[in-house]
Amino acid sequence: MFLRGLSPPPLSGISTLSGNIHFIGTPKDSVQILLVVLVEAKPPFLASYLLAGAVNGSILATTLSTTFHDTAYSITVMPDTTYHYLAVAQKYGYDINKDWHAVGFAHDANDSSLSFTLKPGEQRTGADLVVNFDSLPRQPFIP
Amino acid sequence: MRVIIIVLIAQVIIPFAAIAQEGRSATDQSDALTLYGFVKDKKTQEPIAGATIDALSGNKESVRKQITKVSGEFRIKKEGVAYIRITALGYKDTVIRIPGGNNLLIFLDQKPLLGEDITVTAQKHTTFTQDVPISISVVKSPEITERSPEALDYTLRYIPGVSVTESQVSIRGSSGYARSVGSRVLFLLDGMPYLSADNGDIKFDALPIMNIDRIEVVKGAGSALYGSSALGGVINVITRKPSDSLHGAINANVGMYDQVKYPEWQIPGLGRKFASLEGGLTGTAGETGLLGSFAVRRNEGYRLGDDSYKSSGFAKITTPFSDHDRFETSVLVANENHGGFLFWKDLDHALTPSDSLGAVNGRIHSFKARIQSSLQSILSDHFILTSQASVHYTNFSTDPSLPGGLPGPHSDATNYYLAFDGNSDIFNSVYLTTGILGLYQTVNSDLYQTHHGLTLGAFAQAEYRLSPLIFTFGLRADGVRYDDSSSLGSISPKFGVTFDAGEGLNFRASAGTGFRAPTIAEKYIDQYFSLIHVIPNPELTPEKSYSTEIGGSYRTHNIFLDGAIFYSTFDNLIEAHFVSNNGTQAIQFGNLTKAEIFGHEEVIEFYPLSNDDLSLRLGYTYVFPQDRVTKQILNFRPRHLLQARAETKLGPLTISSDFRYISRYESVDSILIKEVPNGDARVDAYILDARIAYTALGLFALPVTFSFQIQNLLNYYYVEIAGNLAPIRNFTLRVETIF
Repeated sequence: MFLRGLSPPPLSGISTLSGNIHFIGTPKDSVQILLVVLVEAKPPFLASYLLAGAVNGSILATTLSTTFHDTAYSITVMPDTTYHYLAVAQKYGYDINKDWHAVGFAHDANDSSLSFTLKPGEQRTGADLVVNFDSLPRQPFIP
Repeated sequence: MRVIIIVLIAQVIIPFAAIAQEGRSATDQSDALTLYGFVKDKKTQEPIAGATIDALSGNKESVRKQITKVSGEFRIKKEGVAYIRITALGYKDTVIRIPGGNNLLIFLDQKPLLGEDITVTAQKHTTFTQDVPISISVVKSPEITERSPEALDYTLRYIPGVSVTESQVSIRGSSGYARSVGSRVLFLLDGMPYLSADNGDIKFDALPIMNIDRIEVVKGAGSALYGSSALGGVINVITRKPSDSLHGAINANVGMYDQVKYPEWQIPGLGRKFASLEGGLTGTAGETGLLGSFAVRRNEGYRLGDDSYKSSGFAKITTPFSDHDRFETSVLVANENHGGFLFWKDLDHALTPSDSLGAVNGRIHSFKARIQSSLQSILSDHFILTSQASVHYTNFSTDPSLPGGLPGPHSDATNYYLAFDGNSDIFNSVYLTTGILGLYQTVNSDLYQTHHGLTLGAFAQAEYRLSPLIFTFGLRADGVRYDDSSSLGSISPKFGVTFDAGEGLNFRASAGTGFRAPTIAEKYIDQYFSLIHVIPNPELTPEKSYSTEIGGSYRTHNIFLDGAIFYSTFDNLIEAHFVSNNGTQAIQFGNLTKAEIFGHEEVIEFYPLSNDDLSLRLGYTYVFPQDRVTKQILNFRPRHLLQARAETKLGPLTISSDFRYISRYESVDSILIKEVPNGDARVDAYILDARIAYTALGLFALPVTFSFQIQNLLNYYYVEIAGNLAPIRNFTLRVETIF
């Protein structure tokens, strides 16, 4: 077609990770930001790593509504990059460097780590998360 | 400096001399040897102020001269006078034998050659465009209203050498795009600065499109007359004057964005419709002219989360305090509420906002209010003093990005501006323009905290006419101070020369300097955007530019050619970059870039028929913008820019078309690419618009114009900044009546 400009990339171009999030209970403290984070580093790490990771691209994040209804999510993932941690993170206080909880894992509470690498164009589904505000999982952050 | 002080003192002294002179003139009214008269436009019947009445002897040598008043009136002694020659910008020179009586009414015919226009911006007084040593473009009302259904920045995109990236304006590559960086083009409304006090940006949505008479674009550094921000040029938006009799106009637009071609991009349920209603009245009561207009606009947008509600109002009053003074004041207010679309989710979802951290914005509410006044006083036949004052208030606030979350950023910012300009031809063959001014800024924001700024400036410019040459020399000094910090100063000289070779052929050459003081936002921003800390840099210094140009033009009654080559260098350009802050990465504005831009620009305008029923226009600008240190191409500067227009009139039908080609940005901001998925996706842009208009007599024999317009006819998909698809094909039906 003559002069059509930008177009969606071929399907092989983008890798995505998607799944559903199931919410249980209500938060015990304020929820200023709620997001899905996909992290290259293995836990534990400093909460301030969220800041650095967002800057240098080693953390991918998708913001969620704070209505806590079950929802689907999708993250565009850098292909050929190994990620070690997938969780839902909650900012509960005013200090963006420190005031974070992990409120849901992709895996069970005893296995907080995850390791996977997506190929270019791979659309991985089924990475479901459970957020249980009544029973927070083991925290990945170094106190 | 001594020269400047003497000139400024002269501005104060001359009024008293002028008043004394007027006292004498009053007694002359009973003198039967005095000729009284008025000069008016033959077509519009409006008085012509500033026309030169040259009293000639029998052998047509000049005996004495006078300039008409605001009312078009003149009075001149008849002694030794056989003829008078009347000359005025934009009119044919007229010579008449003086009549036997003492009263005279003179009508002048308009005399525009193609491309021969007047400008009030280039030299801060009315002059022909071919008599100024730099490139000028002038856009007039009809093209503004047809191209700006939403806001004025649409119109700017069609001016040769001008490109717009989001709402940041660039003249010949002077600006790229950097989020939150102030304008490198000084934007004026009726000659007074129209930039916000915090971000230093242009609030396009507040400008009264219906009441804009013309836009003048001065290309190249212009700080020798205009001070800060005139780094790449000056754009002056000039509003209409109230009409003598009662007139009104009302127009309604309804339209819709087309569906995008790709199913991946389509968003079910998105409205994509837009509509607007504008109306205005103008007239004169006694000697006081009144003009007012309103506009309301609703746009559902072609992207999710990008809709807007806009409303604005504008009013203007002009009144002569006396035969020698004209006072003008105008007020505008505007309100906007729009979605927080920042950039796309990715190229698979080009019309869906990103949900990544940092891209989620709540709705943004903004309010703008401005009042500006000017008093033009003809203090003598040789001196005009213009006093100007304005207050420019802007406010924005942001809703929480998520329900129950914290509100987003807000800012209150006000500019207070006061200036006194003097225009004098008191010295033979030398036209002097001088002035002093002050600008006080105050900002209260959670982004930038509370800060104040003060700018003081003084300038002088001399134009020396040594026919066929005109030399221009100018110098301006500015001092800028924020809070209690040390002052930043800038001295901005300029030089120019024009040569009238006759037969419509003119040449020009100029060299000038520009500077831009850092905005309060750039110096003091201290805020987290998503998880990234943007930290202040109080040590920022002004950006500087040096520009040179050589050009020429040729004009007849049906063809206009203009060409220029230009070279500019830039120092201390302010850009955002990553820095280490207490062991973590942060973003900070810094004086980073030394750049140079070489280029050339050509404009052709052609009316092939004996009447004006067919017009063709072509503008092409080439720039080679590079970093002088790294030799990299500068971000967001298209190397090729081509604009073309064709218009034809077939009785009541007018058909016109515009085409723009913008070459692909060779380089874009690396921070944006990192932040925006598929942020590197960009292409050459080909944008074709077409419109057809039909005018007929409607109810009460009022002319009604129906027009249908298609913008981006090819439905071509391109970006102006990373992750933002530019407007897709859209259709507008417009109905307008004038009474």
